[in-house]
Amino acid sequence: MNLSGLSFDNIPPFEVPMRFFIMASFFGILCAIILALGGQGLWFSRWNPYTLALTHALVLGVFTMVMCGAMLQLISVLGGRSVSRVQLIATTSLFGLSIGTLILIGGFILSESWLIATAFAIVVSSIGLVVVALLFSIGVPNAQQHSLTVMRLAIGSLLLLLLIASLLICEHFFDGTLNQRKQLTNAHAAMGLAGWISLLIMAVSFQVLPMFHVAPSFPIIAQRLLPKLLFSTLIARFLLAIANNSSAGLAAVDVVITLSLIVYALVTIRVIYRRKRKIPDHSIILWYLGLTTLSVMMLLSLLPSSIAPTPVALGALFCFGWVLSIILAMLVKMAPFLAYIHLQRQCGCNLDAFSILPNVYQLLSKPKIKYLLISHGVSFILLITTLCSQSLYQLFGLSLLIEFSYLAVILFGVSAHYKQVSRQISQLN
Amino acid sequence: MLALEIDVSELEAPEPMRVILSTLTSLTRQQQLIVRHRQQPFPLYHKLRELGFDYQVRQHDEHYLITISHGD
Repeated sequence: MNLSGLSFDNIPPFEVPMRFFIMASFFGILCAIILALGGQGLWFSRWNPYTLALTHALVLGVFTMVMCGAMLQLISVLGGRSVSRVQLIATTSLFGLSIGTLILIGGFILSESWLIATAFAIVVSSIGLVVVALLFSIGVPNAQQHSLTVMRLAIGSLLLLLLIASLLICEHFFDGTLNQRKQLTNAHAAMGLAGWISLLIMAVSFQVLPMFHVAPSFPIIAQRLLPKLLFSTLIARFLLAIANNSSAGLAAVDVVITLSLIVYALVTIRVIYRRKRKIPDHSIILWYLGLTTLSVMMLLSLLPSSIAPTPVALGALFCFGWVLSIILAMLVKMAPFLAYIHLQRQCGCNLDAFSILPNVYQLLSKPKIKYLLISHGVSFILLITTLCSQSLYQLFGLSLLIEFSYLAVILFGVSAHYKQVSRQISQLN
Repeated sequence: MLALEIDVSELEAPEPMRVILSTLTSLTRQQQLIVRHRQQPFPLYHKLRELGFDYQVRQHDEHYLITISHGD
């Protein structure tokens, strides 16, 4: 990792990312409630209203929420430029994304098209606000800023994802004009899961694994080529879907997308394995769980459809096994790190104040991270059990409720500790 | 001048910064701090200048040795 590109001078206030992180844990609790209400039917078809509601609650309410908060913070650190009017943008987009996602969930459950269209307009406006602010702040990254380049690709995927969503809504309102609902839905899911979410995880992993785990840098070829290959293949997939192309063409690009993600998972596992300091770290276990799940489910997706897991099962494994594991691994490192950075900046030039700065494990203790890992592990096992026997869905919902409630408690704890030390520093200054 | 040495090369972020700043709080004018780091800690240099410390950097094998002392 090259620290020369990092800047901690223009970072937005600590509250900015933390509000997004805490809101995401509330949406996680809502996911557990949707699971409980959805019944067994939720697991049989991806067109089930509760399946659609749960998917969007998770992807928008949890994943995109965390990612918006993290990006508003990371862009300032990686790019060295502050996001202008960051407080206003963060508050507006947080409110809009929360309200929009809630309306969208209601729209899917009640099967009300006007609610879905209203929610779409609110979500697009909120995300659009963040995207425009971020793109202005990123500017044109130089050749060494791989993370920023990959973030631009992730944002590009997000814009395409929203474009496909608008086509789906048009298709819904003007039934028969496009008549490609299944193809567009597949393109929408691929662009969201493999594009927006996975590309952003790649971008962040290139920075955080060397930084938080003293791992070697990713091979340059992996940093440069893999994200670009994945993004261009996703665009090809979208164009083929629009052109109503043959299934052979779509199958070929799907194989490239699958192999790109498997290669990323294997390269990342190798990078983590080669880290210098192999001390016990629960977030590393979360990384291994996420990357292993990604590799296995991608391999399973290559099986003939007669023996491959259902799309619902693959989607559930992707979201809960891969994405959620990595998001938790990043959150438990990022939240105390940001708290420390802000406290250290608050110390200014007062040397006495430095002596009261807590270390990251005082801000978020190792046992708390361990309990979160255990909670996530139990949820993951119950997910697999539910995929095998759908009647156990309530147990999975309960474990998810506990997991996200505990995440909220942890994040509130970091905020409270931050405020306490911040008050002490103010007194010393 | 008495030299204090610390090795932060295997610490995760932000521990190197925290350990260095914490050590500097007790550094006297008769002492200098030699930090062994795995990379160039540019954010630290900015902080050292703000705090009025002098520093010199030299590369040793795969690491960087940063010698810090009170400025004049």
